[in-house]
Amino acid sequence: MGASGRRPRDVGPDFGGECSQGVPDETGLPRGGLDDDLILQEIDRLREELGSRSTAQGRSSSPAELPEWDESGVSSGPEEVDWAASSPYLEERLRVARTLASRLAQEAGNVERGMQGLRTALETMDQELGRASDELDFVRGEAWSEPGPGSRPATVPVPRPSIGSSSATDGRAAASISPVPTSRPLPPNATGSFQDFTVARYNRTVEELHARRRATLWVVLVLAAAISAALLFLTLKAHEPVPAVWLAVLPLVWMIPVPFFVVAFRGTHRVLREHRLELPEEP
Amino acid sequence: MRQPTVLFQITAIGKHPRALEASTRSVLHWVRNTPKLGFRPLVWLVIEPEGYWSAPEAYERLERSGAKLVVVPPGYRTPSGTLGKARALQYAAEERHRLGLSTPEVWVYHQDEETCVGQDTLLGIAAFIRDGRSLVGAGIILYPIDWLGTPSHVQELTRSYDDLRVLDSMTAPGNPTAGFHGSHFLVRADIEDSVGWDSKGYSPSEDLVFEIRVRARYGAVFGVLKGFAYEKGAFSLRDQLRQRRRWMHGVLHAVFHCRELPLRRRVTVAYSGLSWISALPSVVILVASIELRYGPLLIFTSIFTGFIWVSMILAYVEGLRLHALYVTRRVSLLRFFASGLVGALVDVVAPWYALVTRPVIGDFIPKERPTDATGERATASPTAVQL
Repeated sequence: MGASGRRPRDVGPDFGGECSQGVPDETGLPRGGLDDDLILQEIDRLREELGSRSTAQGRSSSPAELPEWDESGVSSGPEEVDWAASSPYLEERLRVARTLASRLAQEAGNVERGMQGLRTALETMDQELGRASDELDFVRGEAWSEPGPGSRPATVPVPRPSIGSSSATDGRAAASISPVPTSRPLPPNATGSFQDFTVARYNRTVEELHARRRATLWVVLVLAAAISAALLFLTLKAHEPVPAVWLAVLPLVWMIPVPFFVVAFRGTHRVLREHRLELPEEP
Repeated sequence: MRQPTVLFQITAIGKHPRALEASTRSVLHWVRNTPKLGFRPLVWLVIEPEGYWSAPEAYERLERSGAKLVVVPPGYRTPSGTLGKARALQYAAEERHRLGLSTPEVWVYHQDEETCVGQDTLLGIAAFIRDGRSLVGAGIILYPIDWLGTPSHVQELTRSYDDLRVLDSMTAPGNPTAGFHGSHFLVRADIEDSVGWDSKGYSPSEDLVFEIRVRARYGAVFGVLKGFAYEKGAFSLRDQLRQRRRWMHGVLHAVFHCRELPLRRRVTVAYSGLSWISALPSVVILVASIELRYGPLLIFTSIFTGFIWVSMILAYVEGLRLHALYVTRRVSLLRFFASGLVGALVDVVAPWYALVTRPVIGDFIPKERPTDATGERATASPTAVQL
């Protein structure tokens, strides 16, 4: 028995590239996968096999020649039933079979795609259910889900927390934030979209801000002193005469924003010292 | 006690729907993608009718995505007849009251039309509510969206570092340097609605007036809100000038027309304004000193000159560092320096420009680049900066 006798799985991958080209699509429908092509190819091979036998049988039925296999002397006369002759409906049946096989392949493809979508939907649903479950556990575990003496009243309160107590508790909050290892990978490059605005990027920014606070403080003070000293030196070295008194107003005008700058500088360092700005990163 | 609700309220005229859409979508995106927030989110877009009719399909799209559209009726009038943004804010407050949302469990997070939020913003809000010690919180705003390194954009960097000063002042008794924001602040709904936004006539500093009222009524209830908000700087020097003019008009309005302002606060607010106004004379005096030759008088000022100069440079450097992980555009040091200088000069001139011009209702600068109007990319990636 030749290749037609092999099962599709025995054919092997060497058929894969050709079968889709070697078999014309009579139905005009799209092809399925490798298995569908193999079915069609097997049908073609079967047809070829039967066709060649039919030709051989036709030749053997000629009175001038004997069939090669008839060596036993058992001769079959022309009046006997030709059981090996091809049926006149064979081609039509094969065509119908090929059409059905093609449609079957198409339907199988559709089912496969549908299953894939269904699988994706199920995975999403599973994820969402997991999230919802986590959220529910989280919400149930939160303080506001349990009414108690600590609950805030429904009426408008007039709380006036002192700054000192606020700072102290902020210190506790700061202590609860675990230090972030310096080996943590850098956030990916910014793309300019709001999707960049992650808590990891934020934490890295404010950690660096906190980390350089002292250095910034000293650099500012040293640089300011150096510049002021240089200007003072130049002013004294100039030996210019004392100007008219009314001109003294001008430096006073210049001095107006100085307290603002001093308060701002002090405040910036105070807020960084007393408030850790990092946020916990959720897993 | 019920789980808290956070109402993300974007209040704007609504004529820049793409910027507004990006802000809304940033909220919807991060609410969806930040687990264990522990609050129920609501998104409100409070806009004017003319804003809605400028792009109804965009607003309907946002409604379908889960935002609630609150269009201020044209005939709406507050008891005191306030105008502008304060009127819309007051309408939203009344709407919350009508819907039963003026309760201690509801918090309102205020956004401008271009205020995008991040995951950190939401976690900061959650942490602030969970902490429960303050009733109003404000945080640091970055300006990385559409950042191109122009003078107005470089100048905007300094505002982020200055926010640390704002936070300090806001949490200090008396708010000595008048620190507060008109966006990126969180307030408990019952507190906001009890104070309201109504005032007589047009108030260009509705945020400052609000802060003054809350402080007067509830005391030191202000706290630091962790997490950044993300906004856009002015697109041009002209816009920068107009924006600063509005701020100065706000300060002047608060000093001269806000009756609720105690004397002590009036002095500090006035001093903040005066400091800003004195910037231009300072520059002029510095230049004039070369010609007038009053060197001996500089002995006194030179002691502080170094500190002022270094403080100003520090604001640019630290502002840039705060934005380092967010902006995609890199500019050369020379360009950065030149842009900073030009941007600073505009800021120096702005208060004087405000003094010689009158406040204009709706003097809000555009938050959409002109190129956005023709590009679909803006919708697909509203904050994209391709350089």
